Amino acid sequence: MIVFILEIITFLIDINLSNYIMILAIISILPITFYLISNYKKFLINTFLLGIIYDLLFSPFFGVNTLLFIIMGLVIIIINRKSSVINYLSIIISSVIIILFYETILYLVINITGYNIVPKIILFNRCYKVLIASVIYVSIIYLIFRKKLKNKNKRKLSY
Amino acid sequence: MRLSIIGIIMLSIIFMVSIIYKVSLINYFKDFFSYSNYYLTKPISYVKDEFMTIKNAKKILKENEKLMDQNNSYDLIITENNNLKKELRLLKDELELKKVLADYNKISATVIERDKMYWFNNLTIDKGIKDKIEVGMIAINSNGLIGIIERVYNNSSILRLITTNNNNYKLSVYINNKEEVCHGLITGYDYDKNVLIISGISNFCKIIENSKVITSGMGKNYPSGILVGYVSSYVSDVYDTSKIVYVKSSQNFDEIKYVMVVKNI
Repeated sequence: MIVFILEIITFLIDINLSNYIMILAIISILPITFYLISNYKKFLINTFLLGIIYDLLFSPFFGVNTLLFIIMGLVIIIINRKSSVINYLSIIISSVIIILFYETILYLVINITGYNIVPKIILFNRCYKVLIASVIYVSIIYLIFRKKLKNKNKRKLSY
Repeated sequence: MRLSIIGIIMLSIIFMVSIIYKVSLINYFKDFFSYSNYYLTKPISYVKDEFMTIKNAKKILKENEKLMDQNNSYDLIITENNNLKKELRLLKDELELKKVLADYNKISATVIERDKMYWFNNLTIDKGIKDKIEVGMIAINSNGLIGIIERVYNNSSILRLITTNNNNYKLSVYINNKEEVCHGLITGYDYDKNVLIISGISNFCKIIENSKVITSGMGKNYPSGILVGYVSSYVSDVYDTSKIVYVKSSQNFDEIKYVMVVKNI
């Protein structure tokens, strides 16, 4: 329920704020939702549904985000297997990796398909702007859910 | 487990029904989400607009005074325009022409969404199949050409901006020099210089800077006579067989709220 409310609020923030600042709020909170859900299967279903909604809301091509969100979910699971602690730093690092992954894949897709051939410098400019706003947002969310996240014992995550 | 099986069965039934009755579900979903997106951003954009109105009030007052003075001269232009229209009609009758390339219908639309993923460089407008909008039509505003309609849904459409560097959409244009007319194609966008790239212009053509670049109408769905921008510079291509012209658009692509979709009659 908490995850559901968090995601709705984040969607609203994404819809409204992305008109004025470069932010990927819903993508940046994926690591936090992973720790809150604490179940790999449920988390992947959650990312799949988020991808569908993201596609319907923001993407001109249906399916791009659905696929990307599932891949990002898997990336988060892999990162989580490598690290053993849930703290502010691990969440921020996961968010940064996910955002960079998402932006780079989209950049490659539009360039390889020839939809919009954009120079690399624009990717760098976009990435650092998105990262600043998104990291601030993740920090705020972390502060709100700090206690809840600390209570989560990572070893109890079910496969 | 049971829930996921029920979910899969439900989804398959919905897709089966949509295939049998040839209903594109994506059309309805996209329309619904585009409009909900638009209404969800309304409160914040309303507050922003109010702030901007207060901020610009003094400027607007001054501009209004200037416009009042200029307004008197518009009567003359309107009468001249009406006369020209009459003359054109008479000439058409005389030549038994049913249409010319510059004849077009306008459909006004509001921008309800901007590409939030940034890379796709497009806008969503509130007119679609029901308003007879088709893929390939062009959108304009008072500053000239904005983009091409790329996808059409029932009540909304996706408009690709001309600032997209895509070779698949080529628009036929001409450069209107005082001495001659040079034809070419918009083939891309230069992100470093922020200019449109027009290629395929004959080497024998004389290019003058700040000349108007206008659509030629030699296409499927768009008319002639629509301003694209002004020539900023030009170079010869790699093989020195034609010229590449860089065109600066007079459009502010970040501040587009209303557009007009135009179609050849």
